Amino acid sequence: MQDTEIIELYFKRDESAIAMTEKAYGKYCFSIAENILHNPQDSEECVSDALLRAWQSIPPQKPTRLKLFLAKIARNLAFDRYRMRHAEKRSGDEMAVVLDELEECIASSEDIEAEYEQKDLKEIINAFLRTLPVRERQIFLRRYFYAEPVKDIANMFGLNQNHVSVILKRTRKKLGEHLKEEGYFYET
Amino acid sequence: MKHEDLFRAIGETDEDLLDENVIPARRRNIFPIVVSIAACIAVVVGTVWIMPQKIPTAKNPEDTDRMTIETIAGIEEYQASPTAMTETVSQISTETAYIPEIDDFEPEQDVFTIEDLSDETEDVKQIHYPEMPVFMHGKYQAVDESGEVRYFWFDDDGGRFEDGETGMGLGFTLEYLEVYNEDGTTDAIFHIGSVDDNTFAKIAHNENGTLLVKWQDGAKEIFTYLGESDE
Repeated sequence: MQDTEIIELYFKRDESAIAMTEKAYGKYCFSIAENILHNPQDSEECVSDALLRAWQSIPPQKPTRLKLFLAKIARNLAFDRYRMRHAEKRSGDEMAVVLDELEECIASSEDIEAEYEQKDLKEIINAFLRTLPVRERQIFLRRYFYAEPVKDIANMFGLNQNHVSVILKRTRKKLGEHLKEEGYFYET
Repeated sequence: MKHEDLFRAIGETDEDLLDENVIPARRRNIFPIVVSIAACIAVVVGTVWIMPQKIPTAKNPEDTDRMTIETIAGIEEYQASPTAMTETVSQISTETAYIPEIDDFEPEQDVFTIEDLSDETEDVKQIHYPEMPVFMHGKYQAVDESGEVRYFWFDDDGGRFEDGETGMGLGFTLEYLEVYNEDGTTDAIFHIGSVDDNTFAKIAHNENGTLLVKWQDGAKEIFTYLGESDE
């Protein structure tokens, strides 16, 4: 079933839309959640929550790409759950490593932030991503959007893990410089 | 700002960036190849019809399919590929030849037999044009030797693939190299995720209608066409 047909079901408030969505994108959403949570039960619950969220959001929203619409929902829900599970201490799992890596992008400073905080971080990151060569951008998003392990990314792109790590490190450095130019600093 | 804010902000990446199938079209269309082959054949046939008086004595002097290999060698000027044809022609040199099936030659599928008449042993040199294994528009299921499944969608210039289990995937463009290998495979380059990527593959027909793809790392996948579905 095409996305447009599924979305039409949502607009008709036909509950089969949820089943169709689960069938088409359930595994995809699960893998996104599982990359973050590494807990199949939690990930399944995230998928269910994502489907419910989609049901609540469509309409009025009308996604152009249902798959990516769901991906963002699943990712956010999984990350919320991850934070809840790891509120007290950060464990040594893959997601913790992803967050540690991102921490490198944020320079430490006690001031100036207020001056720039109104800037839209989302827009700044999108603009930054558009400056990257395509491969670097995709590797970056595999790692920091989908939270995929470096090993999997290396396999997907036919590179060795060291190569991917180097690409990620350079991209993080560029992002850090970009954020600094835009006035984003790490809270101390 | 915390790293978690950054992670969340990355989660708001524009969909076109998440979904990009990248890549300018770089695939060589096989249509010009077929046309060039057909054009070459037309030139050859035309030469035979127009200049029969120039054809030296042959074992079948009454046969209009006769020609000198000098004429055939001219094909090289009209087509740079497929490689197999060019190589074979250069081996034949400038001897007189007889091409029995030339009127019926179908570049997509025929065995093109060149009989060297100047040679007492009448060696038969064959140039084989298998139907070039190419992907049709639509969806394929790819299964590797361990049973892992991926799904591929092909369009004019490439497509995208997804892992059968996770749904994760990438876009790619596909460039067919104009090479017919002796084992019936065609070489191709997949530019996966980026034009900078060059993942080499050999594509072959299987008797059951599926395609066999041998990747540069030695992995093999059987591609089964599922139809024109986008999903």
